[in-house]
Amino acid sequence: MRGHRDLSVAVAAAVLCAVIALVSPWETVSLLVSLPLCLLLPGYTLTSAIFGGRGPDRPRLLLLTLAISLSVLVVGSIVLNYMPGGIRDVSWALLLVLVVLAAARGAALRRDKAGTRRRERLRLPQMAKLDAALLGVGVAAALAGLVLAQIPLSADKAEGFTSLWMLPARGGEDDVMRIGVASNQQDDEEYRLVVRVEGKDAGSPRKLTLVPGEEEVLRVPVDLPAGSEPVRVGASLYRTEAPKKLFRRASYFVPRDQAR
Amino acid sequence: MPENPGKSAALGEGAATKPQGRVSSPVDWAWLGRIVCAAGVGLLLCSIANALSRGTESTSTVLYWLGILLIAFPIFYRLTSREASAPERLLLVCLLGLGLYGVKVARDSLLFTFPDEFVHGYNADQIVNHHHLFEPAPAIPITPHYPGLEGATSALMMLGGVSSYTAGTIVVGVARLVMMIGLFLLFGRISGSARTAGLATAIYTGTANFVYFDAQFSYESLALPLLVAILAAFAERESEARAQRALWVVVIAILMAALIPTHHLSSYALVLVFAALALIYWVLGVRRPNPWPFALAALILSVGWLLIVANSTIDYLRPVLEEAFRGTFETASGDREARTLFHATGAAGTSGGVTPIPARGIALLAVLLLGVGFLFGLREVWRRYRTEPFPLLFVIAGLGFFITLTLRFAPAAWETGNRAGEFLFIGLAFVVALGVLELLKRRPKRLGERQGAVILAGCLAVVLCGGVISGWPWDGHLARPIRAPAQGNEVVSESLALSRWASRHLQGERVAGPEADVRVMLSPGDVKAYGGKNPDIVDIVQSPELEDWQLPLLRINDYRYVVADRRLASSDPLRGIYFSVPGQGDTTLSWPEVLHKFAEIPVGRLYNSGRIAVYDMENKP
Repeated sequence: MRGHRDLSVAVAAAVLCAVIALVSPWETVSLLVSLPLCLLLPGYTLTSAIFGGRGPDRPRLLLLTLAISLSVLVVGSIVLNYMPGGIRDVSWALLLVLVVLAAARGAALRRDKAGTRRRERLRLPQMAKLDAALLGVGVAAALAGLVLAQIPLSADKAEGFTSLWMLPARGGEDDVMRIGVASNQQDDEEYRLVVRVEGKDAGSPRKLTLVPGEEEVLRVPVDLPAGSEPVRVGASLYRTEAPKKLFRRASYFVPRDQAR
Repeated sequence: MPENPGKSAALGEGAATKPQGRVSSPVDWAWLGRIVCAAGVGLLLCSIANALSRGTESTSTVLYWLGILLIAFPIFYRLTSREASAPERLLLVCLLGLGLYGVKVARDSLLFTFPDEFVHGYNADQIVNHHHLFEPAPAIPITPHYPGLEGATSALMMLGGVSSYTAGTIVVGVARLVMMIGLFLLFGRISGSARTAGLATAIYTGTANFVYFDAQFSYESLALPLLVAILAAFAERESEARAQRALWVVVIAILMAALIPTHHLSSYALVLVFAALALIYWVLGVRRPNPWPFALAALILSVGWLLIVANSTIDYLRPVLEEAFRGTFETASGDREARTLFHATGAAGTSGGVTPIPARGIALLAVLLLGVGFLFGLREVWRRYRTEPFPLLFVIAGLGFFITLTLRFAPAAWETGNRAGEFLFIGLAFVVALGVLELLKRRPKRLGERQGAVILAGCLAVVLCGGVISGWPWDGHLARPIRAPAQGNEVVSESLALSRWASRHLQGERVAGPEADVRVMLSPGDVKAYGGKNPDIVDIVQSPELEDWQLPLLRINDYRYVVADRRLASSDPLRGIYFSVPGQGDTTLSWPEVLHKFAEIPVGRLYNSGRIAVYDMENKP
């Protein structure tokens, strides 16, 4: 690829981006290097390979660079699907580097054969300070808008709620239930949790205070009565502000073969 | 189309650049600086309107519409002028496309919120988790058979280490850029005028699906830009010398190979476009080679993919199209009630918000303006392009667009008409752009060029806003609260809380439920959640009584867990995923039995958040 600076840069960039994307522990860095690797370099080098020295003008080059890069990703995913190991980060990196390398090589050969039409060098635009400032304000405002969209804002009029759930404990503790209470209320709430086995209170009620967004998971041992039928375990949640009014109810039938 | 007219021929009118002041580049930065500034501020206003709505402070759309106008109007105005150069026009249409895409992105908040996005997000996550394509998708089973979008997204997800939301937003954003550049180059090549190209591309943003539907993370959002890129490449090929044509064939082949596995309807549209072009070439006796090989190649690839990989597509599309045909005839014959325009209805008959009368007026005025522009454009096509295949195809497409508008009155066919519209609008936009420029030429003498341009830009703004109004339910333009900070922590909506709980505890299990809950469980929950009418989960979760057929159906389909939801909005994924806010949207509750009927079987009620409960159908006494 000697004498074709753009192609050499494309190949070097592809290798570098692939390596950094694979090893970087920082998501932002990985994303930043993945963008050219996925969305620019395959399309640019393939367009160069197709058109050789008579490449299209800039607008068409931009269209083909983006559209062919997307196409490489679409077709590449189908190719990788049938490769050993399937679709993985390493296989993607390898595939994209190979595509860029092969296309750049092909482009260099075609250019050597046909001669290269010199493209006018891209120059930085010269603009007045006011124009540059306006441009900057526009870009900053757009970025501010997108950032604002990602910031969760308090929604005071939204109706909060509390969820109660019950599942058997994992890992062989068959007579222990996990009971969760999660608050998505707007304010602190106090609760009373009552667990009943076949309608009879199992232990004393538990008091909980949850702040918004908090979840408390309790491990509640259940003393199962003798018998062969599954046993109904019920969890009832009351709010302290309305202690007699049932707020939430969950239930689970513990199979007898799980009971001790 | 002249053979090998040279690249500059595509620029034509508006390509000449007069150096202004110290600016020597073909772009007038004085103009562009102001326009970018306006677009940025416009996007910020849209974002503020969304933020106020998310914060339950205000649902007023005034700021939002002001924002859209700030993005679009200056661009429309500049595009109508004679002075702007071709590169500047290209920059402007790209700015317009990306600015309006920003409006959609500003509506989301780090989560997919559009009904189809949940399914495609789930598919992308499945590819990353299982390292293979074609993993089954519960909600729209044919989507994994067209994995182009998700496959492409998986590359960014894996290499960039980001979520399907981030990667998908970037991929669709790049596709949007391809769409705008592709349309500009296509129209420029056919008309030989950058001014016509810029205006036609700008007019295309007035299609009903441009701002929202085609900007969502869904297969069509990638397929449509690829289709436009293919058409642009074909137009380039037609203008090249014989020796160069083969190069563009390679480009078309690559793009076609990507389009076919991405979206069914777009690939069929490609077949139709090439077939129609082949027919027009034959009828006109065009001297250039007839494009029938492209039609044949597209047909073979589409049918091949359909039969080998995606044969369930037939069962998916057939009922939709049959119902559309039947519904149209029944509505026309008076056997079925016509659909009320501008009255969005949720899936279970919930009130989906009625479009205010002024907004309806704008939407209707937009159609009227398009009609006027089309009529004048027809005259121009006849005068200048009547021996050119592409403009004639565009005229047919434009006529087709107005015909599909009538489908909006048929309840069963309006969506088919709406979806066809975005393809047909490509042709309409070109013809209307010709008409618009003709109208500008014929303006009354007392009206200066600048006043004429302002009126024209205003008309284009009406077309854009009309498209947005008719393309998306009125109550769906602004974001609603789905997660919010409270006392330093995050609280989430009832559907999202269910999704997070199911993601932790029901991973790998089959869950049936109402559509809104199902979609959020799919993504970001990554739970195998099923809804819909086939099998009839809708009636199981909506009916207050447990009927004889319901339990066997759940058993046969191996749905171990069932979600019951009292909110009527839970049947509507567009509205049912958010917090309930009194006075905002439909907060009506269904019968209490909808929530409790499974407990009376009895089976274990594992989860209860007040309006939503999850039952384990195998947990019995």
